[in-house]
Amino acid sequence: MQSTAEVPAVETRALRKTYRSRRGRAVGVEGLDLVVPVGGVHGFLGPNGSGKTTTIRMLLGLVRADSGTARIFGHEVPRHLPDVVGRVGAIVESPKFFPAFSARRNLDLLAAAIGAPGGRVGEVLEEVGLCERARDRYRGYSLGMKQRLAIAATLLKDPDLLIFDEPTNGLDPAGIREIRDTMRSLADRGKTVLVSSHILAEVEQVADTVSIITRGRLIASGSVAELIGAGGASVRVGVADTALAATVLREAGWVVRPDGRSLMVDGVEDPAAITRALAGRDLWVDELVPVQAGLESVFLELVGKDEAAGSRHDRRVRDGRHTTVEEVTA
Amino acid sequence: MSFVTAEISTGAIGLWLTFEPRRQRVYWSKVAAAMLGVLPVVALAYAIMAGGAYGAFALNDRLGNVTGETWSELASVGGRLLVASAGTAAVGAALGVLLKHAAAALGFLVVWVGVLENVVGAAVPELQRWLVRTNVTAWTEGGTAFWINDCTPDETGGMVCESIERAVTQTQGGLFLLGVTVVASLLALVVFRRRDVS
Repeated sequence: MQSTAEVPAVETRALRKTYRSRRGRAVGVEGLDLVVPVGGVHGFLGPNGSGKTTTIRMLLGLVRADSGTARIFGHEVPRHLPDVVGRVGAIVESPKFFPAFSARRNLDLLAAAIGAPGGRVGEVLEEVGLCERARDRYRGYSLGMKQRLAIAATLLKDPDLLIFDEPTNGLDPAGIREIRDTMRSLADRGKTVLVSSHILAEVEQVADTVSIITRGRLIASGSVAELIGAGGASVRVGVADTALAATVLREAGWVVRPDGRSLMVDGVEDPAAITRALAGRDLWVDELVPVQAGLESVFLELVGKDEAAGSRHDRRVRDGRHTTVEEVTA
Repeated sequence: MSFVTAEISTGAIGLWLTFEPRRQRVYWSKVAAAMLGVLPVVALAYAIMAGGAYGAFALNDRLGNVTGETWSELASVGGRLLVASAGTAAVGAALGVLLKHAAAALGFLVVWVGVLENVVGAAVPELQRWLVRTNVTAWTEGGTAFWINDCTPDETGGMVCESIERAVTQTQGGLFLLGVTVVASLLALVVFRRRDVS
């Protein structure tokens, strides 16, 4: 039996969800194994359509999984969600409130529904900086204010786990920074924040740990520092004929992407090998600068590799050869 | 009905479910709110209608003999009207959950009551006993009746038709409406419990 300290905030095992589509069943989440440790900010990253929102909806009991298990603080959900829902606050996609009601009225309704103590609405409005506009109608709010109100709603229960799905969508830089600061502040107070996003620079600044999914499957997980380290160094390469140089480097097995008038080569262990490869084709390097890898480059590298493996797998299946994803990836 | 469909179409129901994931509770709370919300409106409308009728008769000096029994009957009709309204609100909430859009739910009601029941009533008169309209009338008015033609061939080869009155009791009307309300509510509850919320 697991001790309390070992129980993750969120844990999924082989979670799967498919949807009916015109072409049959479309896979939303495919055997997802996700672990979110207690405390800190955990970034849940993936391209659009990779299954982030579907996973969050399954955790919150809004969507029924086809198979697999999900647990929040050790409680199996959705079966035992009522036992743990008081410890969970969540915003899924854009906030949804009654447009004709004020912020305070909307929160009063929710507070009454969950039996939040008197004065809690005022506290959370204060916490997100909406006190002065609390009596204005929700429909007149800016996107940033709507998002802050949604966060206020999640705080009504004083939850231990906060789940934010794409919380900075549509926000201006100031709004993004406010949300980022709020998430950090909540984590610093001992809360666990699970934030899904495809804006990697934002997540990198605030997350302690991340999980990366694509096509409904987990492809990497760990601390931000570990993942950036695992990605290997990137090198900016200046060369006159970037198109030919990119072809040469890709043929040599590197992951190459354009970077202005230069090329960025990811996962480089020995930069001198780049020089040798290009010189062998009479391409002369005029710039070779090691660049500290960011989460974005690691993400692009991992997702790119996975999608390439996926398309190879798709081709093999189309050709009538039964090959598993694992075999192809290996 | 629109009270429920608005929550579904705006996605507010998803927010509620993150606070109270027990869908059965959420569903019955919506039904209860719809039923309770409709009562003051119907009570006020009935009071205005009854008061207006009383005033009009009084002004024209045609009030007649208003006794305690008259007031009692008026109150009894009003009470039954409130019960029918509450049931209708529950069915409306159920239709809102099942069809998700107010326009679809209203369209369904218009087609059912305005078209289907007229067609069925005209094509198979005996089935009028099982129409919503007939049973609502029977419940609120303390019973109702409909007529069917019973036609038999005569000696000359023609047909002789006789109008026969069929009674629908208030009890039948009440039980029928209760049945419709229960069936619609349970169906909507099953769908609401199983449906993915976007």
